[in-house]
Amino acid sequence: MNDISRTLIIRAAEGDMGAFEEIYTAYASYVYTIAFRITGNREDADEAAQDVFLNVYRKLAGFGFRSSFKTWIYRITSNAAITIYRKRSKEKGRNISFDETIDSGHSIEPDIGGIDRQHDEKTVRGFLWRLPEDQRACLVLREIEGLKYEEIAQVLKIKINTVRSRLKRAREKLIAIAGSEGGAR
Amino acid sequence: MRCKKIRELILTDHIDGELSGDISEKIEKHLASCPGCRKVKEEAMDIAASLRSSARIDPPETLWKGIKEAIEEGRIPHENDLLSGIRDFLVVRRPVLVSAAAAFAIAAVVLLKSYVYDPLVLNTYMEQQMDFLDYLDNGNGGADGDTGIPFEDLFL
Repeated sequence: MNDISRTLIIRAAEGDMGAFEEIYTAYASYVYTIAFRITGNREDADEAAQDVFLNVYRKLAGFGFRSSFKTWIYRITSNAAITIYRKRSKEKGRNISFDETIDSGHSIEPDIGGIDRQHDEKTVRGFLWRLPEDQRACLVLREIEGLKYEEIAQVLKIKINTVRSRLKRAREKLIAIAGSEGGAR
Repeated sequence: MRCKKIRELILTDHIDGELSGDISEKIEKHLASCPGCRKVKEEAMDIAASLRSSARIDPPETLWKGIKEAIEEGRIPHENDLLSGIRDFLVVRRPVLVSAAAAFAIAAVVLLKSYVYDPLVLNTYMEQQMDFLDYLDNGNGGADGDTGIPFEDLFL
């Protein structure tokens, strides 16, 4: 994800809808991918992504350029997705299991072509869904978004060593799962 | 380095490219002679590859429509209202004025406290009032018409 121009942000903050649509176009797939990977389904990803862009619109004037716009968007997105995931878990009174989401209509596979691609997608979702949401968010930001440890720490407002320990635990767990299910691929 | 420490690094900084060259070299040297740690690295790399090759997911076209409608219907105002004005005033734009206002507030509190709430001043005032009431109770007041002149002298 690249940072966009300061001018575009200022124009959008002044109420220029064309400028805000440009921001949306630049970031929509990044925001949506993170939201989907953390919440695990399209309905919640839709809700999280909508919350993100409405929050961005609401807070643009106070952005202040004290951090990078990219970090700011990642932070709002991670917060929104984790909040919605926790809300859903609370509504159900427990963590939603991977098997449950696969079996129910709650989980809709994204439109990805090809049997191999769909198999890979199922593997990825199977991995992520078995992790606690804080480890899942760290892993998504690292592996899918390619953020450095320092960037992840800024986005999630945690210490770098917490980033390390969450990634370590997540990977240990996934290695164990892959081992018990016959390999990652 | 022992296997436990090496595996910790493999699962974090090593596969994420966050290590310095020296330590990475030591790890590679260890991996060449340790099949257990090598296996951990291969498994971690397989999982990383699966995740890294996962598809980016586009939002539905209806998403932008919903966002745009919410904004245009005025349900989502910009936060450039009173609150952000106050925040900018306090935090970003007026540090000198804020310092002056804080100094004035502190001075006002100190002055008011010394005049109105100083316990020494208050106690002195209360003692004076009590002495005066004692004076009246001891027959020195004017409430009974006492002029301070002996009764017989009034007829002389």
